[in-house]
Amino acid sequence: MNASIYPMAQSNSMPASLAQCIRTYLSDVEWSHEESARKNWIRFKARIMLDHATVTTMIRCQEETRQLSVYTHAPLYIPAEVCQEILAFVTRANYRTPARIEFDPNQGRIKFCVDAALPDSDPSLSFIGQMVQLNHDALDCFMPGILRICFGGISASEAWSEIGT
Amino acid sequence: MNHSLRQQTISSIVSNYLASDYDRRPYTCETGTDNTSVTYRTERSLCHMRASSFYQADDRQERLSILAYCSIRIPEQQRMEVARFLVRVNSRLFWVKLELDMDDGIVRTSVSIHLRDYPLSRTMLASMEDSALSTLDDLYPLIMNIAYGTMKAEDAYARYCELLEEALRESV
Repeated sequence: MNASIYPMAQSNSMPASLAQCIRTYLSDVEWSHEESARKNWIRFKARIMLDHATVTTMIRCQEETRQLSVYTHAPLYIPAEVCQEILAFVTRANYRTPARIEFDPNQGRIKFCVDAALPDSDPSLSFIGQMVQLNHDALDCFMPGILRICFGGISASEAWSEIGT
Repeated sequence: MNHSLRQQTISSIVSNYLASDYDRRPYTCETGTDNTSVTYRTERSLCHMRASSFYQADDRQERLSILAYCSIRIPEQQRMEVARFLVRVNSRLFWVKLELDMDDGIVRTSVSIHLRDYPLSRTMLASMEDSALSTLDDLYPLIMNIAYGTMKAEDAYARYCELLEEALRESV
């Protein structure tokens, strides 16, 4: 994993909005990205290579509610026959990580999310970097277990033992 | 660690916050073995239940987590059904999440933040606390209906969506 995408240094100048903070962060870490707006959300989409997968990470914000969210979909569809085991695994994982792991059994998608509401001031680059890092750490930590359940035919509890959290 | 923008440690901000709320029951405080983390525990009477809430302040990692625990555990044979419900609800939540310990049957909500240099205000603390407690309280009847009644996860989720829509209509 490239540590430079999670800057530790504090930014000297604070941009005036959440969206501007994200733009500054993405420029700082040199991620090429796409920006789009949907309803009240501004969304930034970037591709990034992690330890176990290349993923698309979204950073989105809503200025009125001061909500900031980082999320990444696991880059696979969960086969229907292992949904029960994945459900049990995701439930265990959620109990152990600060990130929120969502699983839609109907679509077979898993999403790793880190959110915050920031009412008081704009976040620094290191704050956003920390949110992104938490998101990617959760994905890197739990993806091996998910893959072992999907393709190794093992149970949720066996996968949990294997990843040794 | 960057306390330059924060006048007080996270743990002292939390203890001041808890001490200043006279409606609240007294809280207990436990310092971690590393001396950089402090956990405060208090209890709250909610609409549907009595919850234990924990405020975990880690000054070294600059992290704050607020956890609200349901006092009733989920029987082993019902845990997968409750997990089915929680995983659906989690996809509708922001910041707060619902958690189930598959080994012990404990249900809790949690809200966490790594503050770095972000200021921790009373507004933010109250918002985090409210998210954890109100989410647990709102969902408690449905969770108990799955665990001890006859409700299925799908039906509980459909009811949850109805309640969300009602709340949305009322807020407009």
